[in-house]
Formats: sequence, C-alpha cells, structure tokens
Amino acid sequence: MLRLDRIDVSYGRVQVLFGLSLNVSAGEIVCLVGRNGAGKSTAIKAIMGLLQISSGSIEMDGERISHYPPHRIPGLQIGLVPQGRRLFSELTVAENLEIGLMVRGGGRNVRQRALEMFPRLQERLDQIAGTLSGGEQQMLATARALCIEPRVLLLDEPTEGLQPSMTAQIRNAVLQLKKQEVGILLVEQRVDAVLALADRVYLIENGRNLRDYSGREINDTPELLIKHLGI
Amino acid sequence: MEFGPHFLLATLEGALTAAVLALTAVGLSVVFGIMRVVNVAHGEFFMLGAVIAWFVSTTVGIHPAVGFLLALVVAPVMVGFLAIVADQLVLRRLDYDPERTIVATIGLLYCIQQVTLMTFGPDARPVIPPFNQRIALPWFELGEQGFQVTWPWGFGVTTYKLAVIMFAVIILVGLWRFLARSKFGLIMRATQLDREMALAFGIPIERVYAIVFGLGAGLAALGAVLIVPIRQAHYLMGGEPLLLSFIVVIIGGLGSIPGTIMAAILIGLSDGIISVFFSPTLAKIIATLLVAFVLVYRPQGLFGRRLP
Repeated sequence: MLRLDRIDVSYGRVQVLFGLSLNVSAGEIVCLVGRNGAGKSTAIKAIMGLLQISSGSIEMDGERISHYPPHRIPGLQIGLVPQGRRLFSELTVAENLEIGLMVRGGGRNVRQRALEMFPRLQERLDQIAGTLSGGEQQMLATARALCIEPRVLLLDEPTEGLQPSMTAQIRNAVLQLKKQEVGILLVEQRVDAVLALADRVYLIENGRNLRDYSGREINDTPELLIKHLGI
Repeated sequence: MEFGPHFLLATLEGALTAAVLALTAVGLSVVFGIMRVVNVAHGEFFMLGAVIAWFVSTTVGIHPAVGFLLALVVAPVMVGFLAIVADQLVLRRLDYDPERTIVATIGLLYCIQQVTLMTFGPDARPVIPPFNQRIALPWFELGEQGFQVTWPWGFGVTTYKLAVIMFAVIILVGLWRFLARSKFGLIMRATQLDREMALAFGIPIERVYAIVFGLGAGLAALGAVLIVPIRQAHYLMGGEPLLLSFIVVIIGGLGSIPGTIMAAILIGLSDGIISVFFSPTLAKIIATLLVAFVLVYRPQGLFGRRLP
C-alpha cells in the first residue's frame, strides 16, 4: 500500500536520509526504530510531502506521490499523528476534529467513530485543545487523524511522555485500527511498545536501513533491539 | 463653544478615525497574523481604494449616491484582486519569507504609487458623499431651573459620518463572525496557528494566503472608500494610514484582531481629541511615543500574548 523506495532527504545541504526503503501493507503495524537523530521523523515528514525527497520514490497503491504538493497527501487517506501532538492549540476539540473532517468531507458519523475510540473527548468538545491534559491531547491528535478515515496512519512517538494508562489506551486504539485493515507506521523509542505491537520492525541508523526484523524475531529476542538502541 | 460640547465633537471625530483605522489595521493584522508578511504596501492599497472610488463615482455618470455605492463594492473587489495577483507573482515566489517580503512590498508600494500618479495625475480628487445632512445635537446643562436643553451653535454631526462609523462596526462584527463561525475562518485560524500541520491536514495554504492577502487589501480599500468623501483621493495619501495601521497593530499585538480593534479605538479617539484641542502633529507624536513604550515594556502588544 505505502512504499518508500530508496529515498534521500536533505535539510538544506545536510543529508539526513540515505536510500531509506520501507513498505506498509493494509492491517499491518510496522515500527520504525532508531536512536535520536536517526531520521525517523524525517521519513514521516517526507511521506507527508512536508520535506522534498531528492531521489527515490514514495508510492501509495502503486501511484508515485513524492511529487504531490503536501496538501494533497491527506486526501490519499494518509493520516498523521505528529510528534509532540501539534494540535491547533487555540481551537476547540470540536474545531480540531473539524479540520480533520474537511479533508474528505466526512460527516458526523466519521467524527462519532473517532470519538467512540476516545470517549473522554466527547465530554470536552468545546474545550480549548491547549488546555487538555497530555494524554487527552494525544487522544485528540489521534482522533483528528482518524477523521480523515486513514488507510495508512503515521504515528510519531505517540506514547512519548504519557502515563501508563494513557499509553495502554493509545495502544488499544492502534490494535483496533489494525483490525479495521488500517496500515500503521509507528515511530517509537520505547521497546515495550514495539514488542507489544509490531508485525515488522525497520531498524535505521544515520538515515540508512540497518536491518529489518519480523515481529516474532523481535519478541523472541528483544535484545536485538535493545543492543541497537543502546538502552 | 464650551468644553463639553467641544469634547463630544472631538470624540465623534475620533470615533470616525477609529472606525476607518480599525478596518485598515485589521487588514494589516490579518495578513501579518496568518501569513507572517509585513505588508509595507498596505497604505497603497488604501490609496488605490480611494482613487478607484473617485474614478467609479465620477465616470458612472448617474446619481452620485449610486456611483458611491457602486464604488463601495467595486473598489475593494478590484484592490483585493490586484493584491491576489501581487501575491501570486511576488510573495509566493519568495516563499513568503518574512525578510524578503518586506523588501518586495516596499517595491510594490512604489509601483502602485507611481502607476497611480501616471494614470490619474497628482491632483486631489473629491468624491461626493451619498448623503450628508447635518444633524444639530442637543446639549444638556444644569442651570438654576434644573436640566436645560440647549442647541450650541456649530454643535452637530453629519449623517454620513455617523453612517461610516456604523458601517465599519457592521463590517468588523461580520468579519469577526466570519472568522469565528465559517469554515474558511476555521481554515484561516488553523493556518495561523500551525502552517505545517495545516498542510498535513490538506489545507492548501498558498491558496489561503492569496485569499488572506486579497482580504487584507480589500479591507484597506473599503476603509478608504468610506473616508474619501471626507478627505479626498490623492496618490500620496497611503503614508498616514500605513503608519497609523502599524502603530495600531503593534500596540494591539501583532496578529491579534481584538487587540487591533481595541488599539484602533484607543489611537483613533486620542488622534481625534488631540487633533481638535491641540494639533494633528501632536496626536501623531503621542501615538508614536506610545508605540515606543509598548515595544520597550510590552513587546507582545497591550492585548497580545507573549511568545513561548
């Protein structure tokens, strides 16, 4: 469904990704793992068109999308839950969801489905997003992305800074989406989250693919991951 | 005339200045708030609105009131359209870079000013107001026989000035509702808060920027059309509204629309009152000093929030 084929990405003159490849299929949870600065978030931004690739290609359903202007990418049902949530902090919860709904013209049903996954947001629809707790903000960031009815969802460190109960809720939501045949690309630093969810793991270092593992390999020998992450 | 009626007259003049200034400055504030572009050509869009209003109202050849009403629609639309073209040809190509767009809009300022001079000449052009009846105002005095109503000589206001104030209030309330309630208003606010996330949620921000730039210029032109029957159209008239708009936007807080409106009322009223009692130059000096104080002691503006 989503395929990155040997992409190079630079920030100005500094190259960050060197021939990175990965693919995500429907109903699959793929984890992108690497140390800080390895290029994980850069890869996410490149998929969303927020950074231009200098070579290689990004394809969705076999269609090359790397030359698309960034505002067209969400219309392909590629949703983003960015690192640090990046909510529209002065808008209400309902308005944040409305921004997501605008992408595909989704109505109340789509919003209701997103809210069913995070019922706590239902009570806070008129609250300003910036005043929510960290966990609620993460729920809203996820619900906002669900409003575009994603077929591929990119989650960039969704459990960062969350307490365990919130982490569990986000994890359940991810598993629920997997059942709905949504392809998930999960960027994570937390080994426990990767172990619990991953169908496949891409380990990257200095912007390059280092190794790929199956979920079973990682679960059987988590030391592989721990060794590479230097934890 | 005694102090009381004189002060009320000065306040009415100030309210007129505040109304037009609020429209013009909100245009500048919207452009800066959403696009992060300091539009130095904003005063020229104001001037162009006034000149187009003169041109339309004098060439239509029907009743001056109809010509003026036509100008009220045509001038903001034309100026807005010109601003969109300028956005597409200049600002977009500079990727809306804050520094380079300042230089580009300075260039735009001179282009608009000189083309207007070459096309319409250097003369000040009057526009006939659509209606201009004088209303005498009563004054209440506490005399020996209790409250007495008097009609001081020269104490009055024209219907046109009152209409300008009311019209500006209606437009500003409408704009506020548009930003707060409409879908495009939501898109504008989201783009202002996080440009990158707006893109990641399918908002074509370059199109939003073009419309916002057109809207900002259109508001300046609307302010000019309203004031031109009182002050005349002239190719050099853009300097003062630009200066006052910057003063208002800085005092109100860059990008804050409520702050801009509050500051426009503050500066407009003080400008009117000080101009009537002392001199217009003193009013500008005080406004400029106020900006200096705000920049030193509260750089985010009186109504803006400090950046994290």
